[in-house]
Amino acid sequence: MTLPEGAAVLEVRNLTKRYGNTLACDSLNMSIQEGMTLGLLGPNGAGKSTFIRMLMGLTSVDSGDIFLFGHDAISPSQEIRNRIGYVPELHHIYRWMSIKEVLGFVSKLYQRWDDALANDLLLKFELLPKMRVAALSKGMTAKLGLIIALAHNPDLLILDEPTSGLDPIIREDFLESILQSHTCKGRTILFSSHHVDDVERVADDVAIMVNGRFAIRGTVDDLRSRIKRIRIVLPDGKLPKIVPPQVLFQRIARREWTVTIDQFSDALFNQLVNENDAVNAEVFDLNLEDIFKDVVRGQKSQIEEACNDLGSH
Amino acid sequence: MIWALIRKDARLLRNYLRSAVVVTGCSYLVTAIVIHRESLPDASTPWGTAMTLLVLALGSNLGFLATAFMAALMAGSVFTLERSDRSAEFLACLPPTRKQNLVSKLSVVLVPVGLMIFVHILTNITAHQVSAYVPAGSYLRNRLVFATGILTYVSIIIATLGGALAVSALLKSNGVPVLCGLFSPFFVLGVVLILGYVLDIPAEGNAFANRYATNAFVIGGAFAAMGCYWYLTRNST
Repeated sequence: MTLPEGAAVLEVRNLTKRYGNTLACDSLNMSIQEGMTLGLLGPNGAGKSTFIRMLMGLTSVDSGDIFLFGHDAISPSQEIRNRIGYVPELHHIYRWMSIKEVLGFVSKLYQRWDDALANDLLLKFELLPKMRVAALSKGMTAKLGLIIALAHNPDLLILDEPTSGLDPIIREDFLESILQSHTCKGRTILFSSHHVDDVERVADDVAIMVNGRFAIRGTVDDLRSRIKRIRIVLPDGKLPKIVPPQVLFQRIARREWTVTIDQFSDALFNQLVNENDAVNAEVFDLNLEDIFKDVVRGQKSQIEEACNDLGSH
Repeated sequence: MIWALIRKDARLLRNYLRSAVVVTGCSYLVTAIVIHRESLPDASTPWGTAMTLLVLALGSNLGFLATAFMAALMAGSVFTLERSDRSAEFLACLPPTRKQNLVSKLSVVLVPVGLMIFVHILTNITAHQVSAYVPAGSYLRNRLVFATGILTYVSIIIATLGGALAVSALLKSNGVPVLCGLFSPFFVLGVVLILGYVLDIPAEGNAFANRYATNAFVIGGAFAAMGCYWYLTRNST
């Protein structure tokens, strides 16, 4: 199964999932091109894991389409699964098996399993083959999960909060292996996390997911250059007259209006300063963590406003 | 690939498989001990041959019932054990399809149950042969259930297996599926009695046993087919 020309390795169209009244994923649209690493950032409950579980066929899809390697993959075929490496947040590897038995079992299921690579990774991660999975620590189990995901040379690596709960040293080993896998093999990677620094380190492209939607997407540099925070001191007793539509988050404390804006430009800055009769104004560069926090806070305040509107009606 | 899955499932059910071997052996051992403690049915019968006959015949009957119990235990656990510790999620992310997993799981349940049934049929037939050399053989032949009995026993096993498999496909723990499996033969009995009452069919002798066996085969088979279908089409793992 080869990737059709121009097709994305992963593409979703209007992907929707509901749990009762809760909309876990709301008409998601996105694609990942071959060789790209997409970092999926989002707070807890944003819908990242549901999205990834739908990609893996572990959770049913209410509506929408999933295409993996250019083929329909609402329930991924055996051939597609052979090309995907998946590392979940919580590993449910057979506890009664030893590491050797797990790798022996899994090796017979994958067409491209590389025993030498599996052994190299075992040595690198200092895992003893005779150890039972039940006796492994959380970090060791995560490492075993990564070995299983990498040793069959997948074309697409899907990582769902893989470093969650790991100590800094294991986290470092983990990220290094992912980076190495990306650099040496040119794999496409979808890396979900709420650790901004992990995503910043690994990802080419970042998508921020809030309340079941992709709020924003771009490269780290692109996001840094286009999203800025402006602090404007307003005249006494005045509120902002002009609020541009590309506001991601705003906060007013006495006379100080702090606004985070997408698609920042000097012209927009001047417009805000002039039309709001600003006493003083400053522009701040943001790092990815600040951008993430402001996008999340902004989306949450939008929902609160919508709820208040509903309540008042 | 399928062999790797079968090996894994056999290891998953290893305690039940070991129990099946022990239970099969014990069926005959217990019968032998009981008979040894009791007096012979006919004093003129040579001790060794009569003993063998009784152990084989009664042991196989006891064995059939033990097989039904083991069938419920294994079929009730085959889907649920992986769900209860969530290793089914790990399996669901690997390349094998649900059909392949189902084939593997059914093999691990059906082959041992089939072997147990085969052993008991073989011993029952042997008992039947031995009875020809025992003066009390004809008496025993009438008393012990042979051809019709075997069919009834096998149908009971199918009913337990089907009932347990159907419920196992829906749940995460094996307690309820095993109980449902064990209850299935009684459910079938209820169906046969109600149908007999409604359609005014007399419930006597071999005809009733045959009717029960036919119903148990059909209902048990239908339960098993439903279980397989539910396993294949379930949304979650």
